[in-house]
Amino acid sequence: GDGEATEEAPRPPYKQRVLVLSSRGISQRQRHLMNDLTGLLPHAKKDAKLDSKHQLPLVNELCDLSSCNNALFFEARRKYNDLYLWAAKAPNGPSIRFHVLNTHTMDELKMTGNCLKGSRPIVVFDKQFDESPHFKVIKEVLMNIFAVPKTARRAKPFVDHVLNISIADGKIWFRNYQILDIPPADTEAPTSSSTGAKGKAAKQDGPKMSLNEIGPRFVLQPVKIFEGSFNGATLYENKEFVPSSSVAGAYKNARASKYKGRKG
Amino acid sequence: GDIVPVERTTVNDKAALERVLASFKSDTTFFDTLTLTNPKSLAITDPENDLERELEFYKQALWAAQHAETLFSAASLPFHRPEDYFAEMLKTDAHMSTIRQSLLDESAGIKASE
Repeated sequence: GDGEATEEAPRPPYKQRVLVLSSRGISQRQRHLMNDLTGLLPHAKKDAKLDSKHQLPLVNELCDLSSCNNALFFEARRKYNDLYLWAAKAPNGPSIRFHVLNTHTMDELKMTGNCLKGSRPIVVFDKQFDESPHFKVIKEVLMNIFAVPKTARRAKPFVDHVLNISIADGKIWFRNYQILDIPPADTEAPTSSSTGAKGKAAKQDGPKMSLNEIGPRFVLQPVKIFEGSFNGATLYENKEFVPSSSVAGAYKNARASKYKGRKG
Repeated sequence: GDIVPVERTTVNDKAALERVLASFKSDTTFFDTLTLTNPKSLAITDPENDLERELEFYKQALWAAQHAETLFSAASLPFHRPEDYFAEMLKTDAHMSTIRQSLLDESAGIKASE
């Protein structure tokens, strides 16, 4: 009865729902990436394009209307064909703005893997995510969005893919692999001679398994972390991030000064 | 052209980041999220080297899949999909047959050139 209930406070169930939407002016490739990701998230709901470009906190209201506690917002910038991805905890934050680079969608024929629609992935994070406060926050937000909770109604009961989230060069690399319960064929597994010994040891001792890439692939460069959801104080700013506008500006200036030098 | 790195003053409020993390971090078990963290660092010396980088990603993902399988079998939960379980797949059958055809074409091309 009551006594038992108070003895051990039950852990609140882990529940996540994700609202997926984009700004207007998103290109076809960018929309493909969005659809690929939505296909991987049985606990996601897709919403119509957001009309307003300057009132992003509106996303919080849309999350509330669809009872979502997370948002993935694809912000397209037409001028330099840039894509920014917002990952947010609605309504109280934090939220992270990423610059999306090196996108490959699932449609590419190199991506030979497949998995059940809506099966729960194993999500694996790089060790570096535990080594600095901003990556810790990013890890928790990405886990809330990309790990499919046990409670997701449309989730399938088997495990057949891994989402690999690694850090290299200060950027976050996203890969999605199918799990095959057969040992790797020599032609398919990316093994090179230098690592051959290690690979062989794993083959003999470990369970027989191999991976096949399903896609999509992309790289996220963190730009800023905000305390709120699409608002609030900036907690982190990536000093290595160079916006496309300054790249273009620097190029223009270099050309201008070359011209001036010629004239002078 | 080379981009000259401009020194900017940037924010990195570690105390606030830790405080915000504590405010929303959920207390979960492995089976709530199926999330793992690689105990080893990746050995990527040159992130521009595609082969080396992708091999490290592959190894991390393979470790995760194998580790997860042992956790599932320790808890006597089903992991692999049985052969007779059919359900909608992420990629359509039509797309998968396009992939198979392109793989066949590729291997036929290699044979022909030999």
